[in-house]
Amino acid sequence: MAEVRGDERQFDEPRKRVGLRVSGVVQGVGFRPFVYGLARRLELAGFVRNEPHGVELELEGPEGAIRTFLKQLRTCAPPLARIHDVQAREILPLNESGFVIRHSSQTGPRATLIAPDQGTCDDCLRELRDPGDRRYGYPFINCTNCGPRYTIIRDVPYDRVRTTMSVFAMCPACRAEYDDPSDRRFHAEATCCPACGPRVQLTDGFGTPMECDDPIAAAIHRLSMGQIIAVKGLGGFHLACDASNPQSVRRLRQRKHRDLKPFALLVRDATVAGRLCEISEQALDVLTRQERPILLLRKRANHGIAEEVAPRSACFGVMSPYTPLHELLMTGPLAALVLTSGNISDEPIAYTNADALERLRDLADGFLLHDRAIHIRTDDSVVRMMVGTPRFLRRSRGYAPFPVELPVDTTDGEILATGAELNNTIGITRGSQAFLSHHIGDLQNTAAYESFLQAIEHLENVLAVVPRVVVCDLHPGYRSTRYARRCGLPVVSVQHHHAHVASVLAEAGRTDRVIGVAFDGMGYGDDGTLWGGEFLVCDLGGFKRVGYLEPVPQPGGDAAAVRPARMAYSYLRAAFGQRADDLAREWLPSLMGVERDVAERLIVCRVNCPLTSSMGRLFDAASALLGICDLNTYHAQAPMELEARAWQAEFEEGHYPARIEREPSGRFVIRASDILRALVGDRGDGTPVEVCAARFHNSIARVTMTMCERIRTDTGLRTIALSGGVFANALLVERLVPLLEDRRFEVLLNRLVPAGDGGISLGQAAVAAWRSRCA
Amino acid sequence: MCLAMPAQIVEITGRRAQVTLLGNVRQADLSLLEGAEVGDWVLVHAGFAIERLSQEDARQTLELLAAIDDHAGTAV
Amino acid sequence: MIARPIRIMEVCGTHTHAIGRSGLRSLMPPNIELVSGPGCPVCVTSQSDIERILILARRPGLTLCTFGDMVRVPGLTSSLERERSAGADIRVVYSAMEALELAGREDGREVVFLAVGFETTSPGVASLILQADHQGVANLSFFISHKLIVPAMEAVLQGGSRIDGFLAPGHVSVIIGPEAYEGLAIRYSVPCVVTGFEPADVLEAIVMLLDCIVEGRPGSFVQYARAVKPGGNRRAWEMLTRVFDITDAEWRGLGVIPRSGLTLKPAFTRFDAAERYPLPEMPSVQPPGCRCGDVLRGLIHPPECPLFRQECTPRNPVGPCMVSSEGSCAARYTYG
Repeated sequence: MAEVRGDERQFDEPRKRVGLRVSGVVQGVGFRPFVYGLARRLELAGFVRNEPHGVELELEGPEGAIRTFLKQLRTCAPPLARIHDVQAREILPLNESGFVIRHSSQTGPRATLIAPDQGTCDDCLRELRDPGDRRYGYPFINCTNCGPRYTIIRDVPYDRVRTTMSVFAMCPACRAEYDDPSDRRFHAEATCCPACGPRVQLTDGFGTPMECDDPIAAAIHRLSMGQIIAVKGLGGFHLACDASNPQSVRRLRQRKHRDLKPFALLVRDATVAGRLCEISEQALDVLTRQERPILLLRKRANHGIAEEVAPRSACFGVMSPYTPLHELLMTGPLAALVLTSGNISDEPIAYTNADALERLRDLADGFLLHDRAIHIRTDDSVVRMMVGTPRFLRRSRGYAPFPVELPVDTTDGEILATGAELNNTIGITRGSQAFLSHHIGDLQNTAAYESFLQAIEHLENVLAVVPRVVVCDLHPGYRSTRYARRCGLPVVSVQHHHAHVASVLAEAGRTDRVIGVAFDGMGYGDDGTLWGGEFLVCDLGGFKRVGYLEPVPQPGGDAAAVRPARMAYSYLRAAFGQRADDLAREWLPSLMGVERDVAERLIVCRVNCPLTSSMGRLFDAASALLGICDLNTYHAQAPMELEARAWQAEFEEGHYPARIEREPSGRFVIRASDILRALVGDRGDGTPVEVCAARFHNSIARVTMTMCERIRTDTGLRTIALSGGVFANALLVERLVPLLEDRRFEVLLNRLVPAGDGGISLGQAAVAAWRSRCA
Repeated sequence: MCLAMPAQIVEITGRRAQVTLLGNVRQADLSLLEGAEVGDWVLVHAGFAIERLSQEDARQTLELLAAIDDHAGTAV
Repeated sequence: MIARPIRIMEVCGTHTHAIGRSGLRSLMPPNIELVSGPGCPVCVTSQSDIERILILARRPGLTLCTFGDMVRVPGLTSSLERERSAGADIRVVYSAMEALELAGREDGREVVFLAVGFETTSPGVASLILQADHQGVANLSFFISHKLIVPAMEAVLQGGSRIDGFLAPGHVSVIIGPEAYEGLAIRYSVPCVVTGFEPADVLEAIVMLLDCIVEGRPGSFVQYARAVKPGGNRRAWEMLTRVFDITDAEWRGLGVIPRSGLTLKPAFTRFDAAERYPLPEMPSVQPPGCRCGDVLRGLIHPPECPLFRQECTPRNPVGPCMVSSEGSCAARYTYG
């Protein structure tokens, strides 16, 4: 039994004893040694113990000391701990002396939270760099305050035997630290050292180790020579190359079949980041926090990075080193490396050595591998500052599976939310919390769909939840929807845009009714048409569609999503009627001959030409009309490049007005074609593309604001919730939110989950939970 | 074994007392109580007085006990 | 009125008795089930302890003082009753005080008091040990097998038994106070009502409990207000904690429950019979077919045990649930 006694003491002051139950992220975060140290310092008797529901404490001693303890429990807790709740009650004193750490209990309801993976802490960094430390230069150094968690945990409670570190037996030195309550590595389940822990190797494409003394130094050398190296990180493999070497980057693009989508950058430190990008105080904080996401930052001039890294983008996606391995990789002459996902096009990233070698053999010149297995693949998280707060574009490593509080308790009615089709995440509720998975990806991809199934099983297992209800999107073609309808549980369907808005409401704990504004590329409407530019009056229980973009034909359905030029053509017809063809010749030169004819035929005959009210498609059209992008080689390329150009005229204040009309049904319709008509005219007058792009953004912001005012007049509601993938556009957000706030609206945005489809699972779970509560 | 009976203190000698328990006089140890006095009603378990009772409470319990049949007696 | 099945567990031998004696079960509507839990301290004494007690009993020159209901508890091959017939000096006492008096009178003999019981009994034993210590008594020791009831209640809940409410023991609560059940009640959403020992008390408590269950009010409440005071008997508790430490203990049928038993504090080691006499470690062995463990956990009723009324009767008990008159099976056998 790992029991340690404190000093034996005599005492004669009146003693009290309290029992505490602490819940939250309190396991695997150094909580017990913290409590032990605090109790001993305050000379309190009692014990601390891990239980499935969290941490259990009993403290005995003078009342003043107990009060001090309770205060410091909150204020001085270790950095990874997140205390949700402390329940305290007074109990009969036992006349004990000494404070003890007791064995974990495994019985009882499982309620503990798995910590997300965390970047290397400052203490471990110091040891990593100290030639006198026995872990000097060791790429797997970690402690109770940092290191891998979610990606290596197979099951709970969090003990080494249930992680992928189970195959590494601790050497006596590590074991001594593990057993010592005053050591930072007390019960650090992933602890290891060069003598007993994982080893890194540099190998060729067949796994044969290359001759070298120091694999990391050898990898750095090869990177400086322009080679591409596959690097095994925490959640999967990355492909790395020298970011300042255009040839390397070009080669990487060719091999990945990735023409234009920006690559992320690993930078040595915040100083380097500051050289490459504009970085505010808040952004700096996000960059250096332990979650270590990829942070999108505006490029500076003269950044010295190869153009090929993020062509046509206003931003770099920048990440600081998040494991000791990456820290060591950045100790060489290269200040910035491309660090992109280890996959070809859109497959899920490779995360086992064998899989990486097989799939990436032709992409990488070398493999920096190790033998600590990754149990759950997780992509890097991507974050961008908008109106002063970091917003998620992708929520995965470092954040998953940390839950979001729901305003409803789902006990005995736990929910599985299957999410959307693109950028899928799933969610499982327990009690009043929704646990969201890492980023799973595009379910059309078979490997991603397998990942989807695996994620459901893994989360159900570690949360010990058997869902009673499954929630899905209305879209009958989504694989997530089809899974839900087959899985045998009662099914709740939630409309796509309602789910987007619901995700904002759930985050904010709001159960009242709001104006929901949901802008995205496409979501299945409850009338069977394609929605995407939606104004809803809604709460968690239901919604009413009160406004939308005027529907226009989407020639060829999904094909138009890939080909913005088609949407542009469709809008030209809507805006200019007969003159569309002439204008198409001028402004959509790539849409020549056959394709244009086909598009026209589809529209006229209304064949394979669904009507769409999508804001995303409107942005596509504008991008194509301005000659910025008429083919989406990657998801949302056209709007992203449009945004990038618009930033170049960020001080432009003009806009194009659009009519808002009231239909007989009472709903409001935005005549978006007005905007594009004006845009084409403006462009025809010779206005620079950047200015038009900026004016376009202003137009959308303005008409949205006007629409909200009309709805407020009708309903009296003054709270607006903004969500949907279009709100990944920082310029739009920075324009729209102040406009709304000036008009005395309360504005809510996503800040815990992505506004895009990665947040759908949260919205679905929240709606299902709310509906079952009121049933 | 759980059984405890109301009894009235008749005499106190140090920590010991003579108590009347169901008509019988028995010994009871008072060390688990403070300030017990002659005439007080106490609850007695396995020879120890574990709580003081008001006269009313004692009376109530005795009334209930009066309805007991013989079987319960052997538990003591 | 409630329609769903409700299970109420009592954890006090006196309650088992009261319910049996009064035929309260037959008065209950069909959806309310009264279940007996580990409320009989004799019944839950581990077999390991029983074997070691029997070894003590066989020692020449040793007088074993015990409460009456331990006498017929069967070990693997014997019982205190059998040993007494074979010549062991075993005296039934009403109070631990008598053991002290005996030790004083017969200073040539080694006297051991078998200290069994819940928190109602252990403070008295603690007081006695302090007295013996003060008097410098040298020929008296104690085999400590005291247990605490709340950890056992928690173990029952953790073991998966579905319990909707507890009738909490009345006299244990005189010592520990009704607050002792609050943590459990709130953590597992199970209301507890501290109940007096008469059928009228039990009935009243069941009504209170049903109210709490229906209204979803987990917490600890007092029916037995005539004896149970808030905070319990602090002085008695302090005496207990002066003499005893809390330790893990093995409960027959429930296994080892952490921090559910008492052991003597180092200052009183010389009064510990287990230190004073060589007693080997004895593993606990279940007699074949005996389901006392499941009965104690409230998973089955006595009649569901295959041995009930067959091989196992109060005259020939197989397991302790049948031995002590407070045991669930004995009560069921006697009262039906």
